[in-house]
Amino acid sequence: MTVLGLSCYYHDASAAIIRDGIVVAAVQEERFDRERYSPVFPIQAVNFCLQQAGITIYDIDEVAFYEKMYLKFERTILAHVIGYPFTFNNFVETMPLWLKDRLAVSFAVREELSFKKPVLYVKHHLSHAASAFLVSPFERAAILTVDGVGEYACATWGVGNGTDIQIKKEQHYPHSLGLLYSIVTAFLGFHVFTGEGKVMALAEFGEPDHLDHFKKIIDLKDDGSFRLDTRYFSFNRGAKMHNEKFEELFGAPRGPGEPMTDRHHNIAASLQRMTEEIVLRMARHVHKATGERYLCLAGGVSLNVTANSRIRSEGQFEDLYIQPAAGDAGAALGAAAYVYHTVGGNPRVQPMTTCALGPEFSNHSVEVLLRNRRAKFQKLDRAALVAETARRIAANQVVGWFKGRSEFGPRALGNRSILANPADPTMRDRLNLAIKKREGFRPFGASVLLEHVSDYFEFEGDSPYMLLVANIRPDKLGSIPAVTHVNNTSRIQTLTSERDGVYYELVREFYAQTGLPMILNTSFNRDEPIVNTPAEALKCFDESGIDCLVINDYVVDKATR
Amino acid sequence: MELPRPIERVLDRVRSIELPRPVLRLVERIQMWSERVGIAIQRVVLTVMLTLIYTIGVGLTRLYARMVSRQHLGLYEGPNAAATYWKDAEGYTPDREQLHKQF
Repeated sequence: MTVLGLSCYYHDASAAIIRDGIVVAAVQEERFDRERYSPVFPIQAVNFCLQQAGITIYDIDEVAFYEKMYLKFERTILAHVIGYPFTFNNFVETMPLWLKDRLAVSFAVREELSFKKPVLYVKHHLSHAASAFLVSPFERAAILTVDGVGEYACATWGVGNGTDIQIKKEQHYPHSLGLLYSIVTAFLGFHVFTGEGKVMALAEFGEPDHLDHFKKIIDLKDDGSFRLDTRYFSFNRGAKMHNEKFEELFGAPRGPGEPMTDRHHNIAASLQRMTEEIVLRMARHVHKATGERYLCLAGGVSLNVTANSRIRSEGQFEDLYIQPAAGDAGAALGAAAYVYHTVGGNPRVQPMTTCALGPEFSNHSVEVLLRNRRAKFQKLDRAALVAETARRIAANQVVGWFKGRSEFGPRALGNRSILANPADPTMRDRLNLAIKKREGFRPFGASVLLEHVSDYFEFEGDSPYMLLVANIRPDKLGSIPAVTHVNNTSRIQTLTSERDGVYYELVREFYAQTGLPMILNTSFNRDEPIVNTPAEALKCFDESGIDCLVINDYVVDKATR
Repeated sequence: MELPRPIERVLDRVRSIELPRPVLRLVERIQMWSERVGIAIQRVVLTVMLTLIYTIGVGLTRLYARMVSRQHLGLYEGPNAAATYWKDAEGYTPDREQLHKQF
């Protein structure tokens, strides 16, 4: 049986195919149309998935969509009723989107894909829950999903057992942790969707002096459920989602280009601490209510690595599984998994051990490109390539690394990465300001050999998808400045030979040459979606300060072009 | 849409005529401006229709909700003694008939 899962029309449009229990392909549409968080119908992503599976649309047995749009529309209209007449602008702006696209999913599937069977619509949070549990290594586990909002639910918890998922409780809009985080992100002068990670990074520069203010506007219960005091917010009333009462508590919002002050840092810190407290209470409650040993996490809030780490260490579960594409992109995969396993009654075959589910390119196509572009390149065998790349990284060169299938989700995990020496004290500023052209306070993560992770970090176990942070050991402070955040933590990805192949070999070679069992790993992009094709990698390489590019078995050196 | 043969023949003839460059440019500009005018009309009509729907449809619904004191979406304005805000989850069953619906 083959199931195609889709998500689109809000953000992170994507497609995924599950065939005979295996996730064959999954990719976000943004990688193809080059628009960040692209919401469009993911026709290019679907085409890739079909191609990767070696099938046509006529071989697809079911199409699963990641939410119930009519239910979501009902909630949207109710929000307009409540906010009348102040939501007029928002109504006029968004209704055409509903009428043209969002209420016509079946039509789009029939017309764009020529798929004539009825589509199956899986509830949003159920798609999230399935995206984590059904691909996890756990036979049974508790499940917690937290995001902005689906149809009505903003958070749910339940239990997974085999192929069955029981969602027990939910919390409804507008009492949403994801929305709160986005509101404060906008208040601090960042764009929603791109700014939440920045606020999380900024939080470590401040003190949670405004925690009492957040506690005033949030009634948080012991079990993690909460209510936002809606008198402080203006949902659906335009670009600004907070109001004057909110500003009386927190001060004026930060304008675009306005410098960051301690007040902004402290608000970010307070928000982050509040978020951690909420999800931690939720996790503990779920543990107590379900008695389960393991926890699966999904939903956009699960991209908050600091909160994840607190759940891991204080949430009372033995182990966690976090869907690497925890946002709405992963919901496409979840919808497909739910229809395949839970509805279709098919057993789970194997957990998802890699998120490298996107396109890859042959050496032949890469060589044709390089020759056409008159690049001076050299082709090396695996051992020589690894040795040469490690040498360059050790020499403080910045290396663009393009290998294998692209990763599904927002993280680059060694297939579409920019790599650098974590020991170079100037590397963070160089990468942030000169190469990636982003704010200087943004930290970088590290890819570290699993067997050596506790040599440098107060961390044990596995972190394959860079969704956890760890404290750097006091005796190692100062040795890896490029991946050390202001609070002496780092976001880490642990590597194993079985899972990470040549990327593991590269870091092991770097370790042999330098004594450091890790390298700095950041996504291969520059103010655009992560590069998808060799041509895009070459373009990013040409236009940035990256010193050297490795595509498949080829090394391209800027100095020789 | 299939046109009668004589008309098709005439159209083919017209299409095969090579127009002088200034005329071609004029035709292109007319096409461009027609498209822009069309989009503008569409926007105006859509805005007017949506305004009417909002004012009358949403407005009357709002009025009715106030008259019958109907609360929607569980808005909240201060702490209360509730032990929890978790609600029982509904509609998460793997029933195929339910999954075909968007409600």
